[in-house]
Amino acid sequence: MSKIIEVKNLKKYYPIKINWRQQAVVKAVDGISFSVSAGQTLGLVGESGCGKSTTGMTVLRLVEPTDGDIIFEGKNIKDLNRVQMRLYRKKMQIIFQDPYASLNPRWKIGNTIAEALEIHKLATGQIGKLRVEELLDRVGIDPSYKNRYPHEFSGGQRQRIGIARALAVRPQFIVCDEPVSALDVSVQAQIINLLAELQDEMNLSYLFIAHDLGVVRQICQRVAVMYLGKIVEYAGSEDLFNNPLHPYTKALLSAVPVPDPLAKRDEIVLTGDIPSPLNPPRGCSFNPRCPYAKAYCREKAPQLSTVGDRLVACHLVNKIRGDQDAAITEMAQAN
Amino acid sequence: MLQLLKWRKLINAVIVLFGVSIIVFLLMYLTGDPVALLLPMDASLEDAEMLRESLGLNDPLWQQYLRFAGQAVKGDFGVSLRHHQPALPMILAKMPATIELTLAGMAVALLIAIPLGIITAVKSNTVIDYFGSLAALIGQSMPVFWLGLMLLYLVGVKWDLLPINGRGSWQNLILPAITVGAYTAATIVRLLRSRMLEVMQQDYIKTARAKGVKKNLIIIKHALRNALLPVITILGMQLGVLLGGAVITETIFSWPGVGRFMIQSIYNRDIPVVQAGVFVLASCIVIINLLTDVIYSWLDPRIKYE
Repeated sequence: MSKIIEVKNLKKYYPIKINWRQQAVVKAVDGISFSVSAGQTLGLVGESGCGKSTTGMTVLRLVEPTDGDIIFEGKNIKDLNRVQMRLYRKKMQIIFQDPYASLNPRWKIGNTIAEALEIHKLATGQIGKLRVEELLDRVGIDPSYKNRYPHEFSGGQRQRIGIARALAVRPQFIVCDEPVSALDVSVQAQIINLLAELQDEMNLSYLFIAHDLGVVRQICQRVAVMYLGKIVEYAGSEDLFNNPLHPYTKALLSAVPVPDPLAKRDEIVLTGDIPSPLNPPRGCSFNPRCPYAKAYCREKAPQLSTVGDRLVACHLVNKIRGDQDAAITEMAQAN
Repeated sequence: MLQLLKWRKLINAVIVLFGVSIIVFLLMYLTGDPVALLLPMDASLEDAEMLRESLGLNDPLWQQYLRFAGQAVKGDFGVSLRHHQPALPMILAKMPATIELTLAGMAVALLIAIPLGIITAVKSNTVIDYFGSLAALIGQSMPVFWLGLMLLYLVGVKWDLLPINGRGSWQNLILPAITVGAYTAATIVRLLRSRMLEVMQQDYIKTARAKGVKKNLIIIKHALRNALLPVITILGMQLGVLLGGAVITETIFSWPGVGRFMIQSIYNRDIPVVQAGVFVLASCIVIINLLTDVIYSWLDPRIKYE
């Protein structure tokens, strides 16, 4: 399966002024790599503030990356200038979390959708109008509403308009930045179904950012779990949900409600808050909250390494391999 | 609903004008006995009593007010004590000069403030921003009469660049217009800067960037229109302040407008002229406020339905 987008070692650091001469760096995204195949969905999950949204925006270069490569259809777009980037703007789009904030309140929705068509000279005049109506119709909004303003619609309708707006340029890749977390549960399902239908129809690829794991399981083929700006587990959706390896993933999954009240479950309740990214803990960044943390977890940060057909960043999961390493070291010392 | 709102605004405006008319009516008594103003110093008490009776000043106050209001509605504020001409036409004849100065001041304010407000926001926390914001702070803190006198002294007298008094060519207009507009310009710069900074953080600006809209177009088509709304409100309020503030500026630059004429009339105790002047300026402010509401609902589609 061809990769539509590949992100390598992406970093986004924000300098923060502590006082007039001291500066600190917040590592919002700290060297993450992933890829999305054509027609597939990659889920990006994690707590608030772990850098999911920053990742989404950085991939589209709505936020400039500090370092790393963003390879879209084989071309590194990380250093393209504004004019060159415009070519790629129509291939990659974004759907925002808050449908109340993502549509310009002063613009009729039809104009908001048509603007993208005009910029990229995809359809103008009468054809543009027809295309706008067609898009609205496709996402389930009555095309005759195109001359209305965003405040005249409900949250779910606005999110549909946001989707129509993103689809206008016929993109191949869409970052869905928590597209349903601001909506009612009943509306969430409709939007998820719409996104899934559109994916089948247009062979779209999604980077689906969410903190609701139920939603992720439904729509994603692969999932990356983020913690404090880093990916801690990266696996196929079924593997991850059936058998989470990283303690953090286990904790996240154990927090998902199960419909069966009699079901037995090992609940891991995370204590404490996510550490400040200004001052991350030594060693594994999850160690202060990890129920299994050992002494060496507090010393050395684990690398993201292959376990079966997935990637996990945890000393304990890698222990078997680690033991082998230790054995090799011992042997070397003995000789 | 829209109609109802409009009617309510209109009725409010009428109530305000009614209040103004009472104050204007009472102005007559503000400087003491009006009869004393009308008669020569050596008039006898009998003459005074006769005049008082003939003017109806012995009637109850409410009767006097009704008589005054009845005539005011017909545009009759009495005859100027000094110029012996009807007061209202004299005031109205001075209005074009005042309106010209006010609009010029507003134009100067907008020409300076809108670009500066945008630039300081887009280049926030750079040297440009610091200088722009500092200029705005100075503009807001400086009293109008001080700025007027400084401009008059430096630009007009010392460097002799521009005429300092009277009305006529466009050169005459420059210094008074800057004086009138400076405070408004400073207010708008500060307001627009903070609003622009707020708006530029919104998701719909990111949406526009994701669409590939050029940066300048994002600023003008997406951000500015959202940021301008509170500016319109301030503009409406400032327009009233400018009309009233013209009294000071017109006096400094001998601008032949309503403000200066009213000051002269106050010195001369020419009460009918002052009454007509206050009433005309107050009416202008009421009309401006009404127009502001209309423009506001036109700019922000949400307001029409609320």
